[in-house]
Amino acid sequence: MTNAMAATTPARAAGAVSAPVSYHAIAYLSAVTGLITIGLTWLGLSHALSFTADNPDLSRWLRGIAIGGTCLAALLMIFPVRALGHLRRADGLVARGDLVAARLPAWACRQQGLSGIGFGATLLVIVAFYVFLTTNNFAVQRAFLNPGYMVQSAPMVLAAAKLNLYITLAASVIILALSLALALLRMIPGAAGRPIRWMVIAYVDFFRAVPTIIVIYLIGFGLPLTKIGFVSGWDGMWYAVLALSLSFSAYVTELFRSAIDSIHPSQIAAARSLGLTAVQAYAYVVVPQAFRRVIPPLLGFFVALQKDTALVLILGLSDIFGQAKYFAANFFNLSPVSVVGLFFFVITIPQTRFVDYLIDRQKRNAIR
Amino acid sequence: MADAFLTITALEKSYGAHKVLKGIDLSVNRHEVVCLIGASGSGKSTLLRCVNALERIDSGVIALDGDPVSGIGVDVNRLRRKVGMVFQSFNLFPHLSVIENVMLAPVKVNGLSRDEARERALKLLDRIGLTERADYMPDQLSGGQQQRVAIIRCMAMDPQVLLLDEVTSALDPELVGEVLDILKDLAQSGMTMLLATHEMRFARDVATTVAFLHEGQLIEKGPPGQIFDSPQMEETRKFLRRALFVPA
Repeated sequence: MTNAMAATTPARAAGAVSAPVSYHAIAYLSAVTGLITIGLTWLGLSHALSFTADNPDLSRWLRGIAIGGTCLAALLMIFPVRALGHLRRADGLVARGDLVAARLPAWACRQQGLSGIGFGATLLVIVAFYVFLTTNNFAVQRAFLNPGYMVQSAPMVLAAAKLNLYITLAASVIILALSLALALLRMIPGAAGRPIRWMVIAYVDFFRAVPTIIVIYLIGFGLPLTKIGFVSGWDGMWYAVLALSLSFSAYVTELFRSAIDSIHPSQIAAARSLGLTAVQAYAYVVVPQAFRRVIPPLLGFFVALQKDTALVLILGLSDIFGQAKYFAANFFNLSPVSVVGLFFFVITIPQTRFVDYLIDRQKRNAIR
Repeated sequence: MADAFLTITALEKSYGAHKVLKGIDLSVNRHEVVCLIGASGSGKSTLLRCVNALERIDSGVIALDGDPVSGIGVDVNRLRRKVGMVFQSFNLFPHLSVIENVMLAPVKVNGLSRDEARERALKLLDRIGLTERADYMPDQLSGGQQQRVAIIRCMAMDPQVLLLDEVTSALDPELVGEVLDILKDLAQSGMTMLLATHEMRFARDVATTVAFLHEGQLIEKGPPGQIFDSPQMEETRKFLRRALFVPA
């Protein structure tokens, strides 16, 4: 019965199994790209060997990389091989007219074929980066990632990071307090509160519009010029703290405001009906709930704040970036600045992962 | 009428152009349970919210124990200490544990010590059989349990009258009974209650007076037997037919 049907409608039968792109095309394409990947990987990785004729030690290392990388590329051929296996099974089933059963190997064929293409493309991007680093006799690597200069500058550069951490900590405390206060002022109800709300809106708009580096520059150089006793003659670090606090508070105020806004009015009604005053209802019911919601994005802002402390170098402070620039100018090489980049990379990644984890957990709780 | 505790006279309230309450007269005596019945949108909830000063009234007088609820010089916070309110959606504070929900107002409003408030809260939790859930968070409880906690959260303030706004409407049917049982208990212990409800059986069993609201007007009120068995007004009859699924 099935055989008879397959015999009468072979064209439709084939059409029924094929997806927008046929699994045949994907399997063959992945086989071809797999072979091309092996060739390109070898070419790219062995290119650097031509600069190391006079350095047998390095030459051995690089040959190892080239051979290892090419072996990895060859290993990726497992995907097209599997794809072709599934393709054979699928074709066999189609030929026998068992279209329903053929869907499964056809699907597996597509998955394996696409995986081969995806992994191959990723490997080629990495190879391309390696070529970029090593080409022209390691020009890029010499300019940015010179191990000698990096090791030489690292102790003092990393010691200078203390200033960035102090600025981050001081600014964080100020930002938290200032933003919460501004967010609450922004929400004062009624016609009488309108001028206050306008003032907060103006503040937020202004500091969100003006680039942080301009705020730092104006405050860091401007306030000392005023010669007003109260605001001039500070240590340079405190101008940086003030400028960053003003700038970031604008963003964080908006964050707090939207979080407070998101607490349902019925919570206030319940609190008021128990006899709590409006201030108590905010202090014990609304703000604690809003604060919980705000923690993940807030940590995100503090990660951004950490990175932006590098801007204070325009005030001539010896922060991590200032110190690194000093070394870079002496060595006529940027590797010490790469140390700065690596430093921020290393301290930031765990924090952003932690924030992602918190956001994930919050989502799960919201569903539960 | 000598013992009228809550009196509402000629109460009017509108939201913009929409008139929600069109002159309500109602009084609740001490130890009385008054059930407000009526279709959705008839003004039951608004009436309750007005009594607790959660809504500003347009005209009329609401007096509690002889003192007006609204107007210049009324301390709403003091008023609300005498009036407890339970909401359809429980409105427990999700960031506080069950016992902290019950303790919050006694500690912050009445100035009780935490130990004292805790002891009282545990007694109240015992009354609804949830002592062992004291340290759970609200979202770990069933709807019925949450609503029972919300009721004793009010009771912790020793209110003289309890307002209940369709407190079983958001519950799964099998959880309604446990909440109504608590309310029956409270009624028997002499608690004065004004409640909006769709539970006709409960209204018949527990109410001393049933009041029917229709489009912002109090059409008819009386003892439950009279309202349910021989309603005088056509609107009441129509509403009850629909509410009780009696074929026309």
